[in-house]
Amino acid sequence: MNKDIVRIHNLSFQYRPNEPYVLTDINLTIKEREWITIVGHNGSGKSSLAKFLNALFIPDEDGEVYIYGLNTKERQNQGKVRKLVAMVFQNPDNQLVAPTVEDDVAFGLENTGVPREEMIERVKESIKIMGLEGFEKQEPHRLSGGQKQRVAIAGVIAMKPKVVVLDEATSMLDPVGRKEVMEYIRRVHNDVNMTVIMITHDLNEALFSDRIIVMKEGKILKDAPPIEVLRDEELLKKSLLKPTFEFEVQSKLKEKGINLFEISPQITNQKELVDALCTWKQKM
Amino acid sequence: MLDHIIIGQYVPGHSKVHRLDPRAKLICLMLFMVFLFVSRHPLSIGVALLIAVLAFGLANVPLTFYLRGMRFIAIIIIFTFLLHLFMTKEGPVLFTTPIVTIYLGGVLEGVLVGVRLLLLVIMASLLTLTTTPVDLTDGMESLMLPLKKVGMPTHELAFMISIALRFIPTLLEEAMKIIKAQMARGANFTQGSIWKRVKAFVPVLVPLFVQSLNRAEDLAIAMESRGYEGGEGRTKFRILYWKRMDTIALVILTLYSMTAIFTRFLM
Repeated sequence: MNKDIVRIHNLSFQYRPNEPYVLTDINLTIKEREWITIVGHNGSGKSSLAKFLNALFIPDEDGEVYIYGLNTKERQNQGKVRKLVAMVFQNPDNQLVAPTVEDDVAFGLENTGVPREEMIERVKESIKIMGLEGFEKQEPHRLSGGQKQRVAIAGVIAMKPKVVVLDEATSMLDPVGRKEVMEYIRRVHNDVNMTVIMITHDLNEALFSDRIIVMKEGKILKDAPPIEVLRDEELLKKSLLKPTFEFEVQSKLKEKGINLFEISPQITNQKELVDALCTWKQKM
Repeated sequence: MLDHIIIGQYVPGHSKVHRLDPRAKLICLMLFMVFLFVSRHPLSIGVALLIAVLAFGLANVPLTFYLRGMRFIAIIIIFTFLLHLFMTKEGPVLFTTPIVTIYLGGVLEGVLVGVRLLLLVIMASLLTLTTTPVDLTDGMESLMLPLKKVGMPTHELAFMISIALRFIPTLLEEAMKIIKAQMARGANFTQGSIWKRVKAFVPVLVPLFVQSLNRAEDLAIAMESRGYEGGEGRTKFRILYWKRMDTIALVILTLYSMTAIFTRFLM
């Protein structure tokens, strides 16, 4: 398949010496064009892990992080790594820098010294991908939370990175905003062909991904396709994650002796759940 | 509660004054301010008045927008007028009361200073009313560029101003939230002596301050991850265009400056 773009070897991390390790012995590879979701409860180390991916954190000791073959420990690689891996953060208010939408989308391009003609082109393109046409001159504080996050993502994809890391990018949004942003992230993954790494504690957002990485107390508990993770009740309980509604219904029914799994082995959304329930009813 | 605070008084429009290059506007205003205080002769005051009327007419900003900011200024103007009226003892006596004597020179001086201040305020508000804060910062950065040679961090200064402008509404929103949260806990901001009311704001300012520091840190990380490394090697998305109108405006103001100098020192 595709080549490995992120390789993490024996990564351990503590904020200060003599403090407990936030990450212990992480080994992870991510392939190009994959959609990875890293889930975990608060303090599981998922956000710290994300910061290693674009050289905001540098491994000490013997751990190593390679992005497209570049070791983030070497200073001259750090700038390159940040161009390859872009990050979107949690709070939409704290990452928009410029006074208008188009200025903010251009911010990263200005920093890297892109010529103005090309900049105008790329700003326009990103604004179009994120469906923000008509908002170009708008001030950030007049936008909804979902729109602000879309501006942040537009600013990131304008720089044409290979990987987009979304560090709890939807956790401060209302359900409508979440759905809206997820929609556009899918678009970035499918149409712009970017590798997406999402960090979240909401399993509903993990359904679209190729792999889910479950973290707890700085360790990777499981690294598997969504369906496998979602079905593993033991694991979810252990990692303090709330199962999605559909899976919760399934497991509650199973306790009552109704096994929907036999009817349909793949229930991930409400429609599939309703269909399975109807089939089961007809069989009665 | 904070609704009446107007951030940036910009009134959107497409008038000739709106479309002037912010650099031109800034230089013109500077010239106007300096030479207004050189002007004494009726001719140069007349020219200044003409320029103000012309700019005012072209800008097409409703009068109410000027008046909003005028209340406080009006007090100062009236005060300085009275001060000059009573303190100047030149020219023929107009009339005498047991307390003060009014001289003709006092009236003239008072009117002169009053008119100067009024024109000054009108022109200054014209600048902020017709220019977006963003354009203003751009203009300032561009005008400060020569100072970069003597080691002034012009990019950083302009960037700081623009970030501050960007965050004013966000912080106001946050202040409102904290005020409501404190009111829900029984804080009272609208009753009691002034001292009590000021003190009631301390529990608002402390969390606001802490939050701002957190924000600043988040913002710094976001900027760093988007490749910000200071002004070196940076390209600019917005650029300013110097048009013919800008040159014309500048020429008019230069002519005025010359008139002011000529009438003051050479006549």
